[in-house]
Amino acid sequence: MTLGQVEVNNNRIKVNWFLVDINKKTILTTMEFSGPVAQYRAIAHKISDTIYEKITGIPGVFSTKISYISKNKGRYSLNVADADGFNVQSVVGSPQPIISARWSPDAAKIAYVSFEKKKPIIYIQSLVTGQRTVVANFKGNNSSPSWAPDGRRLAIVLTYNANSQIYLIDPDGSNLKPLIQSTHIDTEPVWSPDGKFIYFTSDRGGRPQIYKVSSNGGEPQRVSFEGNQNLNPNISPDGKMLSYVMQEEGRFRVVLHDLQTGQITKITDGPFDEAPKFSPNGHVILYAHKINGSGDLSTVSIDGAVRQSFNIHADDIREPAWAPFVK
Amino acid sequence: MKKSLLLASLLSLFLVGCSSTPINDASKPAGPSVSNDEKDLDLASLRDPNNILSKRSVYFDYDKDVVKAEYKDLVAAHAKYVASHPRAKMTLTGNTDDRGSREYNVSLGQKRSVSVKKSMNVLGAQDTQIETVSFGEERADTNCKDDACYGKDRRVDISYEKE
Repeated sequence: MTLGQVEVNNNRIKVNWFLVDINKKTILTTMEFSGPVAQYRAIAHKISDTIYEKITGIPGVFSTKISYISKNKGRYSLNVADADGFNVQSVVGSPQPIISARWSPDAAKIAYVSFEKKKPIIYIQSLVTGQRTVVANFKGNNSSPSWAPDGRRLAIVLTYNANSQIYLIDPDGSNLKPLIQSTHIDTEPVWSPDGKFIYFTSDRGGRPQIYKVSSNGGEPQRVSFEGNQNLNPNISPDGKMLSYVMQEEGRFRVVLHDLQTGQITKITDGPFDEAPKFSPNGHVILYAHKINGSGDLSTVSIDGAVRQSFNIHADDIREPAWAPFVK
Repeated sequence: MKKSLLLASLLSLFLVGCSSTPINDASKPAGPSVSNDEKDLDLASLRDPNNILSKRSVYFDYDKDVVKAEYKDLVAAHAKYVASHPRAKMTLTGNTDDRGSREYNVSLGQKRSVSVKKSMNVLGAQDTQIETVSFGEERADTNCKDDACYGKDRRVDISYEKE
């Protein structure tokens, strides 16, 4: 239980709080935070993070950022917000769709796919300067960017005049090389946190499933075996769990896949859940769901117990991504 | 066939008539004029609602990328147009319904546009004149409840740089 006291004086706010264990009748932590009144939300987040870490031993994510894409009256906006959905800022707007936004490992840039030129093109935009550069605009589609953990390369998906294939490229658009080559659909690459593997979606077995390949290329191994189709992989910050979308009987739901035991846990019900993303502390999944033609975001704890819906502005929102901790 | 011959000869008469009167207007911009494209690319046929070339959508069955028999004539007409107009540039844009992940649907739409392109390659349309892209589910009807609705989204759209 948290007890505290708030004082406002001369446009400054001071919060004294105690975290108390009621059963043992002891004080676990006591702290004082102060700052300008205008920063009251940041102060509240810092307190929440501290409490979270004290109780769970894992850093809290209350001070982290998320991104998502909103659609309003035919116009699309890539937005950045606090992890609780407040403090929304538009990074880029367009009359054509934007998808697949991904934070760089230093949280200073976002890679995204824009259809503003009537085909998908990959951009990287600095959140500091607002400037953006084209990473890939080759013939055909350019999509599904995924940052390597060291931020020095991206895995991307190109098509030329054929099916989707995975390539590696530098952020400035140079050093393009294929990762693997096939005649099938290979897409949705995501790097393991140690940079050694890339998980991806492929229909080489007939239906879309999750596969894994060395980031140096080689022979992919199939990873998903349950359900009808498996898509949209994401990996936990400790590299021990995957989250992806499983389709069964026409219902799309988010599942967790323990990479050590192989156990699959269904943590949402669908019917149209997509784009699962781990929080930077690995405790929560942020995902999108569609109902009646409009989309919203929700979070679910990895044990499936705690769920929260965002209901941001009643807009049609989709494509969430969670920024890493800023070091 | 006869119609386009007549049109071509009429146009060439018009141009002969023009060239006998020298134009001495320095303010006219240099470079290919609109009327060159109209003739060279036969844009009138692309726009004519009675011409199969004005039909631009190929629809697909669920989970399939095979061009169905009912669209063979449409695909053939566009293939022959491209093959006979070396300056024509065509884009094939694949689309899907809105079920599943957005990136996988970009790939699935692409599979369909590639399938249409391959049918056209067989009839002489060159890859240098065709670009295959996909919008995935981004243009889909998001209120679909049955396959009659989803079916409209499983589609490749044919468009031209000049039309």
